[in-house]
Amino acid sequence: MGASGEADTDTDEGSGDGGTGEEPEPQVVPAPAGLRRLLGAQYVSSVRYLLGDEAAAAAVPPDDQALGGLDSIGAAQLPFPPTAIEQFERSAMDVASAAVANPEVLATTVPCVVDGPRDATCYERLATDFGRLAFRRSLSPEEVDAYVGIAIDGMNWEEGSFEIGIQYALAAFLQSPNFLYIVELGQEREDGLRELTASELATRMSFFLIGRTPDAEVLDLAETGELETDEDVRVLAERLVGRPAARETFKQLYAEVLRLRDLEFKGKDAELFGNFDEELASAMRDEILLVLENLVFDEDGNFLDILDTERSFVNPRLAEFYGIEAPDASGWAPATLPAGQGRTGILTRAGFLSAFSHPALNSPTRRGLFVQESILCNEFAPPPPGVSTTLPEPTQDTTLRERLEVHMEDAACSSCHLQMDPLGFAFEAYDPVGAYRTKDNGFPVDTSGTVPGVGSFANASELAPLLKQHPQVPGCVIKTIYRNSIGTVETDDQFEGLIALEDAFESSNYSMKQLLVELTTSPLFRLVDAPK
Amino acid sequence: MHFLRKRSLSRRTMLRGLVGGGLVAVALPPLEAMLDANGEALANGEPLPKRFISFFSGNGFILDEFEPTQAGADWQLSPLLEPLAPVKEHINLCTGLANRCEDLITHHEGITAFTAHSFIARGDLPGFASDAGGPSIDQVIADALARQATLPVRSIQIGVSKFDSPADNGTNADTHSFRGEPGNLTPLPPEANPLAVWETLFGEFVPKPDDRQLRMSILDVVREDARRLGSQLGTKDNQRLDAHLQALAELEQKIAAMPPTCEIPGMPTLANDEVNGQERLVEVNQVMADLVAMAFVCDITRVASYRLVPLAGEAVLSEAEPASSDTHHVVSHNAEYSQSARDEFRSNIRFVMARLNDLIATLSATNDVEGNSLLDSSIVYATSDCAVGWNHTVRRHPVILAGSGGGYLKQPGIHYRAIENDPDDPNGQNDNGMSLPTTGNVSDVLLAVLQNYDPEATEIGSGDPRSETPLTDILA
Repeated sequence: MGASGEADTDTDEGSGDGGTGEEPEPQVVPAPAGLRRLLGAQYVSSVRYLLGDEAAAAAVPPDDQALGGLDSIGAAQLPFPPTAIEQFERSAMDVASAAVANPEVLATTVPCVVDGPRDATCYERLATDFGRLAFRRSLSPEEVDAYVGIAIDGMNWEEGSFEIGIQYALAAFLQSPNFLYIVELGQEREDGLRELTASELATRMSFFLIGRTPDAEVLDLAETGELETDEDVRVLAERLVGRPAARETFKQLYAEVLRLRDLEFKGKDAELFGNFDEELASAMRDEILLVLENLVFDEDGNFLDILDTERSFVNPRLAEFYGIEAPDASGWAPATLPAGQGRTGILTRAGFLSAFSHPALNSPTRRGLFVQESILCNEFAPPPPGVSTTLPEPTQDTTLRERLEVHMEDAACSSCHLQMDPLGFAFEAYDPVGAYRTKDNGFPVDTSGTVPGVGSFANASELAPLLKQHPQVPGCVIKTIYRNSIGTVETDDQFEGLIALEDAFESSNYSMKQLLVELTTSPLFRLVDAPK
Repeated sequence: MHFLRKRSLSRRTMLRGLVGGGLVAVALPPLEAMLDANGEALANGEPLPKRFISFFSGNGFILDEFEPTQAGADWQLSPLLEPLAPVKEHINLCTGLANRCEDLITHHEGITAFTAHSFIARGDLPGFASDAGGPSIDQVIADALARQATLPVRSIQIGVSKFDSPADNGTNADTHSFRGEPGNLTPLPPEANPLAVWETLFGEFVPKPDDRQLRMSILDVVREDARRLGSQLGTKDNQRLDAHLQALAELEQKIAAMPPTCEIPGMPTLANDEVNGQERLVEVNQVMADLVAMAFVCDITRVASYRLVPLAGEAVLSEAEPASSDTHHVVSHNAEYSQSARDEFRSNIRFVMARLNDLIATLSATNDVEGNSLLDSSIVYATSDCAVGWNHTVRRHPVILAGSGGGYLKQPGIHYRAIENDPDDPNGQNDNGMSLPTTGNVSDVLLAVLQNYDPEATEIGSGDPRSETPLTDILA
């Protein structure tokens, strides 16, 4: 169960004699060295940084492939299917063509693209200087030659020109495994542990915190020995966390965790919920993400407040949905949700409630399972073989809750469902699109419940503080961030590192910004195990 | 007309000479001019092409309404199979065979009916997670066909509905197409956007400036980068890089391939981007069926995997009659006790069968360049992730086969029934084996099918699902 539970640890056990030698390091077996494919969003953001907006508009990466519910884990483990490689080729051609037509951004790295000389010496600058940004490291002379060769072939082609040479060399860089994978090999330290090289660390930090390939300046830091000590790392991490892109990257992470990404495609029963269209669904998603952004980046508040915050943001469409006055402007504004609806914490907001329900029915099981798995990091096995997972047909009209309570009578079901369904019952005051209700199927809803290890509550507002104070929540936040940062699922081997992060998280009064920074200095982040 | 087409008379010579001479020859569309005098083989002695489609649609059936009462040659379609009436003479139906997957995670075991391997549970991942235990039948067949001919596209993966299960994950839940060896598999995800499918199959062959030599040079550089990288990586990442290199080699073959001599279909206009409950599955399915049929005619590929509804899929089949308003998965469960849900489940299953019919009928109505119906040279192997939607039993895992695969399967087809179902408990569960009579091994069907494409194959799969006894009853 990793870092959840007890919070004290003896950091003196760390091996303080190797590496950067400041704080004693917690002893961990880090995730293995190796390859992680760029996620689609990382690919597009990297293209935007390297080649500009027009090039980014032409960038169409293949779909991400999740594993264990997270794209980042799939990125660390799965091979590319052949269709992805073809898609990368097409995308590279289109991006390169757009970049040559709009060379301003490229010219900031390789001025000769615009200023000349229009000859092979410029191709060499392109291979050397653009190549370094694309590969996040300096190229070997061999590698430079290979890419210059492509550019010269392009120039000599029957329809070729100087620009065509640039274009095909760019297309080549964008197809190289050195670009498409984040390569994290590490190098052995004196104490035998493997540590990311400074360039690899800069790259890992950049993708983690701002969702794209590192800046030239960040690579400079790494290459000039200014990214060595924990303090160096901390300073850079704080700078990156301060950028606007850090907000977007963090919101993408939580949109994935809260399954809000595809909310507008989820679809609800048109007869029952005709108001649930793509515009409303995306407003529901944005509300929760704005609450998170505001809490983490504007206020640097206690992250656990997400579970009991009263804060909201609405646009006119969402204001209408919640039944409050629309903001003056057409955009988003802070709002107070109706007092009687008990919308305490992000789990009571329409976006979460819509994401975790069926098209026509609530799913207390799914809502409860999310709380157990993703807020508390408890794990559940699939239903045992042969068990009917179907609810009996009610003998008379009743609420969904009463039908679900059958799960609790059957011993084969109750061991798990007693821990899931009652958590979900707390949200029975909200329908499948998250609208407030007092009746289900014509009968009064019952939002009370008792859950082993959580406590008793009358409704979602009472559940909120129980969750917020639950000792597993901070550790679960850390696991969520750690899993996503490098695409791995923690094991006992990472326990000490996670515990150290939990201590730091607690001492910072649960500042997410500080947690993000702290993770980058952790051996969990800076070290790698043998290549996988 | 493609600007290269005028050169097509000397294609084979051309190919050898293309881009510096380093290329392998690419299989060419079997023109009539290239057939032997009897039209039974290509002039160079290669057999006529055989095609294969594996069809998957999640959430199972209602066995006692699905399995026909009469076995043998004189069988009649059951009410749930009725939508297949237009193609019934082309169908061989197998019932009563056990799916011998050694583990159960509700729905995941169904994939064994496409692989003959048990899945590998992924306890290290959250949710209900498993990886496939071995390559799937479409990819084993694609491997066999690749040894006979090199085609522009090795196989194509089609998706229709986009709405999968939020609770199930791991590669085994994501697709039913896996390439490689046990322990080193590349999952091949289905593509549900017809435009992307068109791009994969035909995009290479539309007129554009001929920069193929440059693209090949790029692939050479990229390949060299991958090789350098590989020397520093461990086994797992080297396997990933090998898959990458293999994909580059196949892309190169495609770039080198000459445009087919068929009419390239226009790009579809349907993007299949509707929200759940508004998916145009009838139309999307037909467009996908047309694309696969055209790719077969053009001999761009001979293998497809085809997924209508994902594993434990949460698509709302709003075009079923009467229309469904909840997800197919939820309906499949509620059908156990609720009469209204049972009605809904029936109409959903009939909807799925009607889409399978559309695919089969499209193959039947489309002729290849020899003038024969594509269905004559194809086998469609179709089943679900379980036999009974609400209890996920796989003890009687039905398989629908369509087409003769080049005179290999019986036509008109039969209903092969391994053992009669128990009329008192026709939809019984996995844990109560005796209540649901079963025998044999669904992998016997897989092996029989495989031997049509690879006569040398003597076995398929591993562990309990492994088979070395092909089901011969359905062979012509």
